Amino acid sequence: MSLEKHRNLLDYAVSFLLRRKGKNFATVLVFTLVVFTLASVVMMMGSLKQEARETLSLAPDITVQKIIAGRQGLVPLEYATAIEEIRGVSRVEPRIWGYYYDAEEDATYTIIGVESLTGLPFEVRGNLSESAVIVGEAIAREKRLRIGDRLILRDHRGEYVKFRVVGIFSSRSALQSADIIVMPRSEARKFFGIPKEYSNDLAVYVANPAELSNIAIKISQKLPDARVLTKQQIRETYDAIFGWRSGVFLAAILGAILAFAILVWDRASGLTAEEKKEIGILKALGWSTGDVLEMRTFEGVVLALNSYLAGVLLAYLHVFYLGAPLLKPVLLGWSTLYPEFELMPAVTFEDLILIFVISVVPFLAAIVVPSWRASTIDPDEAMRGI
Amino acid sequence: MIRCEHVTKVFNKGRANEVVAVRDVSLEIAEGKVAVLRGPSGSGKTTLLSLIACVARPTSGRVFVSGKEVSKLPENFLTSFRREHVGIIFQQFNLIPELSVLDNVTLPLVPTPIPPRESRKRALELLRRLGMEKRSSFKVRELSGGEQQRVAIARAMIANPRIIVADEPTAHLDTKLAEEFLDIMRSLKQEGRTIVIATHDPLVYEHEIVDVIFDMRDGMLVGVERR
Repeated sequence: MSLEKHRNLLDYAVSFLLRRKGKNFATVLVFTLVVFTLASVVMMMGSLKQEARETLSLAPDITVQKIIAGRQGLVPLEYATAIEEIRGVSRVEPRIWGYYYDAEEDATYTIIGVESLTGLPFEVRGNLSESAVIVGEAIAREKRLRIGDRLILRDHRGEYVKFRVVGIFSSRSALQSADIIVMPRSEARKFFGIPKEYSNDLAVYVANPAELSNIAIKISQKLPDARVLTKQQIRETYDAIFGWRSGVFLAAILGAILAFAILVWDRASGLTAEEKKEIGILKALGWSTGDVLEMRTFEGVVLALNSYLAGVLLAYLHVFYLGAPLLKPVLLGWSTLYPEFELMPAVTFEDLILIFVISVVPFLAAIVVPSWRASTIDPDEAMRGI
Repeated sequence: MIRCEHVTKVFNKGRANEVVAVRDVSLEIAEGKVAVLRGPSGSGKTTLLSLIACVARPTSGRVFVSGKEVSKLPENFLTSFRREHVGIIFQQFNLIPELSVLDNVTLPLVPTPIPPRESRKRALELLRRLGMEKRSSFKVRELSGGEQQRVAIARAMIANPRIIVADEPTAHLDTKLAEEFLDIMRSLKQEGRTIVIATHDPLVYEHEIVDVIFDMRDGMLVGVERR
């Protein structure tokens, strides 16, 4: 078939759209909103997953916890000794950390005790000495802290403890570090009242990653009351939280509902009597059913592609330049400080295809199906004035 | 040449509202002649015209147009056959009001490989011939009834068909405009085109250009008058 014919049909489709500016503008507006919402959620989830993956890349190979009455309890340090004896384990690091509720800011922080600043999963500036802390950018902003300022916190007995701010985490690592306070391990242990012979959990590193699952099984066998979490298991948990089953699924449902709303709106309004008559006239003048459908499909594609591109572009700006102000309150976690972090751009080709399939395909169906119905009528009806 | 053999057209067949619009009609129209299908409203002339114009198919019987049995052509072939061989002038003109005169005239050529420039050239030539060249950029709704009909004639002519069919073409025109229409038909006849007009307007069927009149009543052919 000649390309010229398809070009003629495309030209006619565009002129058809321009003739019904009002209705088509409203359609583009609604459809852009659908794509924008869907793309914003997908992009935000993609970015969160990316951040989670980056964090996970620095996580220990195996995390060992002690379970008491079904909940996480303190791990005796002798467990570390027992694990070190397993062949293939290169290092075991007892970790001290905990949550701190700041009533003044109505926010919850994560306090981490460290021996040194190297190996932390985020960038830090400053040196850690006794009574010194490094705080996340969000905490610094909320509490108006600068380097050199004092930070007063209440320890496990309710007594005030003074710390000096010696560093603030960089904004690039905001998601991971926004609500974190890092202090020397001994200070953290004292602050939370954790006895010397215990830690919160154990970070286990193995020499050969291929041996990871074997070593995890050996730890479980040696310490039956411990919960052993491999990096893979944590990754799966992250995926469950940010992945298809939660965030993206939510996005898909949301997008599908909105796309469905358009479909219902279009189907309910259907083709106007004028549009049906026009199709009848075209058929009587020698247009085939295929020609009418092609013209209507071009029409749908022009509308859908414009809306899709506008929606995706607006979503990109919304998520990565404006920080997703419309979605953060709905999709982010429990910490009141979190809504201020910066999302790192992370959009995959699969994300774009997902948005396209969920939004554009139902929309095209909504345009083409009523037209197909109308174009199969006998053109004889056009001669009778429909 | 156009030939119908025992053509019957039934609408809503087998249902309570079944209507036999055309019943066992056989007729022949020679090439280059002007034929009139005459009869009161509901006599079946528009349906018979649709069958001749390849817009509808008979329920039974055979229709031959330009030597081809069109009643058995598959839809796609029928569509292209209609576009190439038959020009239709509708009773209500059936123009698209938001389109310009030029765009309305070129409409039948859109689903063809003919480049837009060539289509426009042809359309302007036809409009010039019909005295409508200066109105080519006007929207159809801005035109008078007579002007709209001339646009409809130009549209029917754009694919250079050998057969022109017109359904009640003078129904919405005053006498002067009706005569103008018949003058145009005369010139088309002189070019050797076959013209079939469904009408009950005496101005048309008494006109000198008419070669044959088929009288219809209740879907049946009840008389033929040759001149």
